[in-house]
Amino acid sequence: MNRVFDIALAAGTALLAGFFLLLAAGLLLTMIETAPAAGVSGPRILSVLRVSLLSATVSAALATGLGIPTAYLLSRKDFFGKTALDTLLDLPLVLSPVAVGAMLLIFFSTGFGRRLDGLFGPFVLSPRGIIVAQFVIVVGLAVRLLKAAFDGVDREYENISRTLGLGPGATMLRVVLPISRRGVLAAFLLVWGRALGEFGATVTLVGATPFRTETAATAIHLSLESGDLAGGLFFVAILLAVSMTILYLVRKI
Amino acid sequence: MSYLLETENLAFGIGDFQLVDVSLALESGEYHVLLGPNAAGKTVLLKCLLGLHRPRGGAVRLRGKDITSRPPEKRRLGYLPQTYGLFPHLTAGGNIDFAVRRSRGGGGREQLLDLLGIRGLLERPVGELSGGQKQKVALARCLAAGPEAILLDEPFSAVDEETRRYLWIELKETFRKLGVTVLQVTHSLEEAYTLGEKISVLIDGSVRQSGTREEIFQRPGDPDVARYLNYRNIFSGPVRKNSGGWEADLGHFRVRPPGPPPAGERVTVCLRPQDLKIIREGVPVRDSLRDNLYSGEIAALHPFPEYCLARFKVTGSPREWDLELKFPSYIKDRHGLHPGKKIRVAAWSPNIIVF
Repeated sequence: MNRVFDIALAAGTALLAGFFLLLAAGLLLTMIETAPAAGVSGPRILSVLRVSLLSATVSAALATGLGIPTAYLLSRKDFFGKTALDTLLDLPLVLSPVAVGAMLLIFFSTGFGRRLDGLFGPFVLSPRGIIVAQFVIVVGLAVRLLKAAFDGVDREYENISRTLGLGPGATMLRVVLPISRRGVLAAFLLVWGRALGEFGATVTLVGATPFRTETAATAIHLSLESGDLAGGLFFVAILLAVSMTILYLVRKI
Repeated sequence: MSYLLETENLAFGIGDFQLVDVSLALESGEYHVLLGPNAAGKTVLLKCLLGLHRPRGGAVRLRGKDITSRPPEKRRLGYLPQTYGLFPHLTAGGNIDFAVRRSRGGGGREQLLDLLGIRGLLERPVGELSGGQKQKVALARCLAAGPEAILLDEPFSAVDEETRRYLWIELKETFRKLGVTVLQVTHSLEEAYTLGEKISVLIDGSVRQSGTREEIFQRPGDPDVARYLNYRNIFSGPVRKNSGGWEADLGHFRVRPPGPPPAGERVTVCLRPQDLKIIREGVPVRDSLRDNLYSGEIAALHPFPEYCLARFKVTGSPREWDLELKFPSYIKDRHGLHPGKKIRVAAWSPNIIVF
């Protein structure tokens, strides 16, 4: 009976692993067979990489930085509305990114949104919008991951720091963040990777203008839409390589 | 007189647990032990003193000044938790310097390093220290901040059994040299007896008794304290007055304590197991033992490394056993004790406890 169960588990896992291996093999074989990318010029590649890396880095840094206070609050305090806040932060993880992009588009057409757009923008159909779209999509994930990192820090360290004369702010900076630094770094990397691959909300808010708002994810979409299989494959390979590197680094931290 | 640290009617609630009307007082330089069973509220009380929990009522005073609403960083009370809480991102030395940078005078880093013998450990990561070494480094960190008093939570629970007793003596000596005021939490009777100049017993969230260690161990204030001290021979019965004084009628035997009779009609008495002596046949019995002499037999013997427990059944008793005796192991051989052996047992009158 146990043996049957073990075989069932192994078979399910093998099926899953095999599917992913087939995906990777398919990509590799197609790349070998396809002629060198005709539609992807050097300057366009550089522009896509610049836009992608810059926006993902800024949005991941903002999401991690701004997520720290909320994550710490959720990890340490009980307060009225905690469950509601928790649920709200999960929303972008579950909601379709296109819907999030549409909500942003609508928001920036309201009076307050337009004022923000005037002050810090422009966001709609402009490169800065990429950062906003990615930020909204990943900030919930950032808070989740950071909260888990803070949950792993024994509160006794904070108690001791306080009795040694440090206030709550200094304790956060000198004790909690240094002890949880690995978890915070891992959170940043994962969030950065998620931001880099963001497509739905970005394309809805800023469109996909080559040399202006085109990220690696939108480049894949544009290339395949225009029948440029080689160009699409090129960006798929780039995203795949970056994702694998991030996952490797997160495990090494 | 003004105490260094005191609480007055402190109250605190967390979940179903309540601290009720806790009043404690520590004199300067005193080694005070807060003794009590698990879940009695010892750690909660420490955290109220440290400012890590906000009490619902009552006051905490330091040198007569009310500090009840002061945050922990402004109390000047050191804290050594059960796990020592050495910061894992710093070396042993880094942990101590963390406190030195914030010390408000006093402290004396160099003196502490020598006194605790940890100068050689400074460069070590805290993960590589043994339990005893961790304790010393954490203690140095705690003292380096120059606290008015230090609060220790079960500081020996992570130390090996064989080094524990040695550390008790060493630690007490260190604190005496530094003149530190200490409040230590423990559930260990032995630890409390060895270390505590003063002991307060906390049971179910309230301080049942405070006093010198002799007062606590010889005159427990109520039956719960006596039970916690492992005094099993606690009996209740009606008071009978007679020409010679009075006695507690416990059915198949009587206890005759010295002193005037209690006010009520019923009384609870306690005979400490170590105050019960085995009396040989034909040997004259001393005055202090004569009033409470019982004949019976040994129901069971339980040897321990350092002493022996015997359960004694009074002749004619309907119970499996009536009295528990505690004596040095050699007594067992001297009297040739075994279950079923007929013996006489006497209680030492001056130490009979009447509640």
